[in-house]
Amino acid sequence: MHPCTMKINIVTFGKLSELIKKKVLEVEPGIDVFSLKKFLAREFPQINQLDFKIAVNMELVNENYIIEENSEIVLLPPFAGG
Amino acid sequence: MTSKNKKNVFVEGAIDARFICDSIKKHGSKTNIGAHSIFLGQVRGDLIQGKTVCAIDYSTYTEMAEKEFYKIREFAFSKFDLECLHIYHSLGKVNKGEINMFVFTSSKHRKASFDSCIEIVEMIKSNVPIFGKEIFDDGTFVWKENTI
Repeated sequence: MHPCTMKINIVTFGKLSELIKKKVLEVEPGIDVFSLKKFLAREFPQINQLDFKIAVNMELVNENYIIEENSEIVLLPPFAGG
Repeated sequence: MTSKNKKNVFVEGAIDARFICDSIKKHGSKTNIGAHSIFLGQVRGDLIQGKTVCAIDYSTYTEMAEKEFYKIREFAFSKFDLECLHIYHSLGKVNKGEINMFVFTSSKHRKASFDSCIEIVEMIKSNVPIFGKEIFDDGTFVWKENTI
């Protein structure tokens, strides 16, 4: 692992699970959700047009949320229950 | 009141009409209840780009969904004067015309059961991470998105 990166675990659902196969990513330490979304768009251009939310510890997080090392980052496409 | 209880919401496949009947019958012993409201979600056979939906395959992020359902229950019991609340949602394949969601609110008087039922259904649609794959007759599919 590069000394200036940290590992995060990616969990995907719905359409995103078909498009993202990589489960562990190395990102810049202290990255926020806003920058992570930009990173994901670069890493996985196939998801660029897709709407999705991010959850950490089973709660949706906003763009200012700072991600910690080894976090489980859950990418949630639009909900379709009901 | 049993709002604190963790309830098992998810059922595999379609929700059977007999299950709904039994659930109504069971409330006959609760004579403090004077009103029930029921919402049933049913899978539509939509026509999308010339193809007909024959089923929806539901999946979920279980841990978060259970937490969201718990929050919805807590909210409903704190806002409305409810005697009883049951929520069931399908996972896996549900064919068009079959029931995929059952929300059952009970109260002393009608207003609480009506109003809570509407609000609970809206919260489920917007807050609970459930995903649906609309499967067509020819085996292809698209991922469903809830309309507001």
